Amino acid sequence: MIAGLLQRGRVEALEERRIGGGRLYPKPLQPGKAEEIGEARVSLSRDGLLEACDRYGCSRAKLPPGRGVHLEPVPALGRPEPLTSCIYVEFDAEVLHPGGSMTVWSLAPYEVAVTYENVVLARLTPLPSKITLVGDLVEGRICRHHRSGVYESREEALASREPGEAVLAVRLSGPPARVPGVAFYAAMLPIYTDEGGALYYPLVEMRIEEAQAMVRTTSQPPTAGLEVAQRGRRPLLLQPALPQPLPPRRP
Amino acid sequence: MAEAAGLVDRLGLEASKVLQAAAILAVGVAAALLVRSLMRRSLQQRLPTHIYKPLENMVFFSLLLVAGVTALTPFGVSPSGLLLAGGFAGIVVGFASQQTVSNLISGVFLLVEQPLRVGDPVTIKGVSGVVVDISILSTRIRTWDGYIVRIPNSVVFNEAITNYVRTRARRVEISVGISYGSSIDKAIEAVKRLMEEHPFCLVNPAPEAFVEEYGDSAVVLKARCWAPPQVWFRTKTELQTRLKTTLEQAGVEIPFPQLDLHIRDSVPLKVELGASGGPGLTSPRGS
Repeated sequence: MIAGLLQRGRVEALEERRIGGGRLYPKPLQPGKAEEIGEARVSLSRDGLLEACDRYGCSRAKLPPGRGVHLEPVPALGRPEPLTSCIYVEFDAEVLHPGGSMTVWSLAPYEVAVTYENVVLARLTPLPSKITLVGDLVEGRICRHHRSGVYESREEALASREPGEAVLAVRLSGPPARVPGVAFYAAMLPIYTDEGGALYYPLVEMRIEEAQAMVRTTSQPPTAGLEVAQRGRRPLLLQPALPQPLPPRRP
Repeated sequence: MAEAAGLVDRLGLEASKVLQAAAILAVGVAAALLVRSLMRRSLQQRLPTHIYKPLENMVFFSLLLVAGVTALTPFGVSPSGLLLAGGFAGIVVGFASQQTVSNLISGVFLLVEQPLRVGDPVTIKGVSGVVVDISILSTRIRTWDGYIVRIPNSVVFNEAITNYVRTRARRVEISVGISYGSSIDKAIEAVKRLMEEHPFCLVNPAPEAFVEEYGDSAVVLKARCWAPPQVWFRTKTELQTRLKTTLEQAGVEIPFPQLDLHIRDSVPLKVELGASGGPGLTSPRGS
């Protein structure tokens, strides 16, 4: 009973912060309000006209007057076209993995889904979108591309965030290797949020092999105390591993 | 009289066999249609078209084949006997309908090997378009301008097939001429930046731009980037459309075809002025 009361208190506290501060996700957008995240802009007029724009275009919808929408962070796979199911984060500087196990922190893009009654009305990207080929032309994968720094701690990554970037933790394991970036499957992934409204991708595990790495996205948050930022989204139990070629150790 | 009665009996017997066979065939065809209808309702939305269509064809034609063989049983032809006779019948049928059998076998190989799938943009023997159906005897292609072309499966199987989506990326190539007076470096930089900013031009392999040719009227630049096959055409048209503005903004001129005319000697020109002294030129006068 005490646990139940504590849980209810926690939920109420979250709701209060959500309504008061408006920083936690999913973020409600009431009629007559507008929201900007990087290059993405959503506005909802009092008579129910929704306009959601990013650099690739605008979506418009007419809602029943007086009804609001929600803004939810989703993996950056849909803009301008849903062409891929993975994200490749290219590190500003190549990571030299000394062997064994280590965790590096980085930043990956996310998109914003505008939902009404669980129907996605629009997807917006706060950042410019680019794609890249991971692997060769026959067997490789087309992934969303993002360039980011590599950080030693979560705090460092949080401090370097731009609008539209979520924190990404990569756990490296295996023999020594040069790691220029990380490619991971992101379709249907949950995105987590902390109490300050920062967003996080689930922990990514990179197992280094001879000339490639196998990258698997786990369902666990990268750190304790995070909550799923989307409504009705459950952590996935099984994600396929994505093979990623690595440069030779001795060029 | 007895002979006539026997004849009537035999005719009645044969008629009943024919009726039985027709009934079996009708039931078989109805069952095949029913199964196909059920498959369309339950599976068509759930499976990708390239998997669903061959599956539907296989199930439908297998049921028809079973119905056809079963319809022969009232005439005393057992399926096992039919199989034994199959070798000889195969030879006969093969000679009689060589092309049809060839199409049939090619169709089976096409379904197994899958060098093309329903929905793929392809070129086969000069016909370009999207595959709309791969049936047991022929493949239908909807050309870019909307015509439906039926190609026998034996032709599809034996011809070179260019499949535009069985690769992760396709190269987009654009040529543009700039004037000899414009800066090549500036033009290359502007074209590269245009491709780097386009959302569908891949980061890796990187876009490239270079001088392709020193032409009669222009320095011809070639721009190349790689794009996913689904958006290849869109990428090409968007780049081509924006290229002119990009070059103009960079101060690079796209010239008209031009011809420099050099006159070596000065030649006297005869001018005739009219009597009224106006602009009309009527009477010859030496220069």
